[in-house]
Amino acid sequence: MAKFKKWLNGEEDIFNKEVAPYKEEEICHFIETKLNESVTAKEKQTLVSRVITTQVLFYLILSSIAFLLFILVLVAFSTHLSKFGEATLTWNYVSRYYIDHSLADTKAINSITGMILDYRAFDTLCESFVLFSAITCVFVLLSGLKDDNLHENKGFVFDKDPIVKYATCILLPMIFIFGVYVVLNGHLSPGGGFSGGAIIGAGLILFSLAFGDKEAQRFFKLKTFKTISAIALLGYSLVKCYSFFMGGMGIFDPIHHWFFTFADGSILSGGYILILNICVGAVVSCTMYGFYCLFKKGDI
Amino acid sequence: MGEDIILAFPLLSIIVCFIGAVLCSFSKKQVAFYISLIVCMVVFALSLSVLIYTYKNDASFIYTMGHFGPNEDGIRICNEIRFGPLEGFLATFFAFVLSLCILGGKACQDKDIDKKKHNLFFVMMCLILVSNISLIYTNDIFTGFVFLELSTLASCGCLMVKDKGPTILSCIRYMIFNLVGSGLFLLGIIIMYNLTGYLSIENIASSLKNTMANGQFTMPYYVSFSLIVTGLSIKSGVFPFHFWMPDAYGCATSSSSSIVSGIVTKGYILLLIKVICRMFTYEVISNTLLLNILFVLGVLSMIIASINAIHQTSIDRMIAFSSAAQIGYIFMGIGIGEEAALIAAIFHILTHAITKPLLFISSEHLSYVSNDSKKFKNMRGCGRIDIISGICFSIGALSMVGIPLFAGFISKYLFVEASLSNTIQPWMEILALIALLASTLLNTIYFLRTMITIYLPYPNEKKFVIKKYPWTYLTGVVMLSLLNLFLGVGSSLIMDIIKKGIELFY
Amino acid sequence: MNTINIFLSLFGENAIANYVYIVSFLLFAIGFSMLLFHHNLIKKIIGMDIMDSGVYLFLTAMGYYRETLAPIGGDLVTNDIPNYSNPIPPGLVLTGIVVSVSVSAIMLALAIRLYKKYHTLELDKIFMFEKKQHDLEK
Repeated sequence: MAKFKKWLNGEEDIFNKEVAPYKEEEICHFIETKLNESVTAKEKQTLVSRVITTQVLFYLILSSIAFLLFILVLVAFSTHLSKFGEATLTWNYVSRYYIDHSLADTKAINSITGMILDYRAFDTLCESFVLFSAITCVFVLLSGLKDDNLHENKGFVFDKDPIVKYATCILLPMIFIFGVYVVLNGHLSPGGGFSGGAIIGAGLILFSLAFGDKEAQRFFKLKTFKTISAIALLGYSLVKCYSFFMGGMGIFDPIHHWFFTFADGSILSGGYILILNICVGAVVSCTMYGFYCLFKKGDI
Repeated sequence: MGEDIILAFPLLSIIVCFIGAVLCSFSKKQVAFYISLIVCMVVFALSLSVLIYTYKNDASFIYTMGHFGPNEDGIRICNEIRFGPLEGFLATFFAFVLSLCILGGKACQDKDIDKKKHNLFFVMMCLILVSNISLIYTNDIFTGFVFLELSTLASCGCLMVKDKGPTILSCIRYMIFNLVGSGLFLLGIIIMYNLTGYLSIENIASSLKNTMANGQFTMPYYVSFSLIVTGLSIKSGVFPFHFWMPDAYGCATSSSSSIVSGIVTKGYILLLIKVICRMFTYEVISNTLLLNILFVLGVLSMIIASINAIHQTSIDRMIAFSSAAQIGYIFMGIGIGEEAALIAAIFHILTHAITKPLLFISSEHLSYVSNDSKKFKNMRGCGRIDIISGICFSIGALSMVGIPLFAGFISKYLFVEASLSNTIQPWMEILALIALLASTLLNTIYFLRTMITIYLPYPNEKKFVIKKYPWTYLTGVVMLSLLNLFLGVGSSLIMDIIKKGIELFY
Repeated sequence: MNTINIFLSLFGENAIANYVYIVSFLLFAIGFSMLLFHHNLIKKIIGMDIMDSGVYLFLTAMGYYRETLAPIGGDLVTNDIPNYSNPIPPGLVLTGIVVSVSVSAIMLALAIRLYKKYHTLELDKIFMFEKKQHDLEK
């Protein structure tokens, strides 16, 4: 029972003893040696058990009351909304227009893709840059750190495991092809750049896990990552700049018209949607793999 | 087509910032610095032409980001941006101030930031600029939410780029406050979509008026209003939510703290003004207590943050608390609800955006001559050694207090004039005047105390002569001081632009 | 009796039919309580994730109409009574999920840096050590 409690609190890992978090004596020792401070007896006591002072109690009571009131108001107001599943105010001109006209205006059979990549493309443009800023921030935080006496995170290692290797050899091509299919067919069936990019990113992570970091480094370095994301984001911005400029000023757009000459349902008929899906898929897959590498070893 | 191309300039300024951010990410440090400055200058030039065009034509324009404009009933299908003289002026102003902040703090950045990661700092600058401009221009509430998140992530990135000291802990606190704010804002927007079915601000406003007139859904509307306003207030840092400010501003490099306090928080406040004026219009809101609550929060923030600032022992935490107090002034202006008070609030946004960077950058340079320490007891007499930083800090401090000839005097005068108008309720008038008087006195106490400290040396001080100032620092602080004096002396043109802009804002 | 009446008048008429909305707000409540009351940083981050999931569940449930098809397939015609489900909420949820992922990644990176410096993840203990360092510098 005590072991279960310790696992619940995050103090001990019953599966893998090597990555258990630091105990209190080790924390004190670390702070005394590395940060050159002395740890008083009172602080040691606080490290071991939590001391509840009046200030903490006051904060707890006040925040509990505020929290309960907040949740009560939210639950109460949701009963005043219109019924779940019935036709409400949201089934109005705008949503009907998106469904009725998405094939005629944007040649997208999937009206949701037509909405996010044509009618509301400005939101998606910003969203790609949100991903870009996230990977940049994580890069600023985690790259180039000197390794101190942190436990070497051995964790689970699959390099020498034959089952994972052979299973990956069979599965990985299928994962990549499926991911590329989802990206390219975003306007014809459920899918799109985000889902397809996540699938390709997951495939890259599987490759890196099964074959080790050195093999993955051979074809995906920091330079590859920077080139692919830069080209994809630049391409997205320039295509959308051209499209918004022509659309907002009311000028006839010849390239858009050329895309419309293809038959409904073919890959190239998507117009700009195809290009945008490819750019978004590239950015998302590089970002997913980049997060994995930065968290694991601090460098891509 | 000739003059109409100016209508596309806001779109071009947004795209230029995006492209600049991508280019900075793989350039070296010096190239990235020049790219970000060029981006700021290009956005300044484009927005200036937008301002002149809309001011001459005395109209505000709507530009559709897509191929399909609104239909005959005015229902919008695509995203839109809307700009008039006020939006053009604010975009110009923020681009200019951002370039001065980057220039002025360059020497501090070179000391604080790792060389290999310095170019990523400029990426964050471009992203902050684009999110601020888009929050000013947007006419669609969900676009506002996405750019709000971009602004949060980019500002967190620029705060954590300095790797020394307790930066990580202050960033965690900053992120948690901001993310709770964004979450509440998103919830409010989604409830508003459920109740109206639209995401464009003008459609929401007309649908809101119709439904409120029928008396349906009153309680859900109130919940949605309060969630949206609470979310934006948490992000701006009004009284109960300002605890992230001293840690975040104290532990970051001076460019970052001046940009986050001067530009990023102002973007959120401008979105709040847009939401209150255009989405929930004044007719709907005057039946609720929303503006009164904002007013009370602003007044409390003015007084309590100033009292906290007096107790501080280091200069950066004192400036951070003073920042929270100034945001209180702006909320008081919004809460009064009259047009004159709104003009005063927007003028105070401009004043604060100029003065805070001046204070942060010059105080950092002052700390360099006092053994890199920011505590008052170590900073005695540093104003005599580093003359230009001392003068610039004094200009900023006098402007904050409200001495005539500086920008702060004009904004305080506008606030007093707005409180004395006879259309507001008497209790608001009395409370506003008392709060203005009390906070001016408190500001005087801690700012003049600081000025005396930096000019009064210990008896046996060793003299230490600064040989040369870097050109970036000189350009930055001198331009900021000149802008301050310009706003204080010749503000009539700016007031004209703001008045015209607000008429076209609704 | 009066207080119970006031309490019941807060709730509207669709209390049973809107069970999905109530569940999504309970999810939001669970996530928010984890953010407020747990001391471990990783649990706070997980709480933030659960909060966002509650909001997206609310958004998705809003776009659902009974016995309708997905809005995929060419040449669709809509009626006054909904025959296809609303395409706007899935688009908004897509954007929201990307934002949620980015935010979780940054918070987790901050947690890793904090752990490397202090070797503990309990925020109140870290604040204790930070305050100590701040006091020492006085």
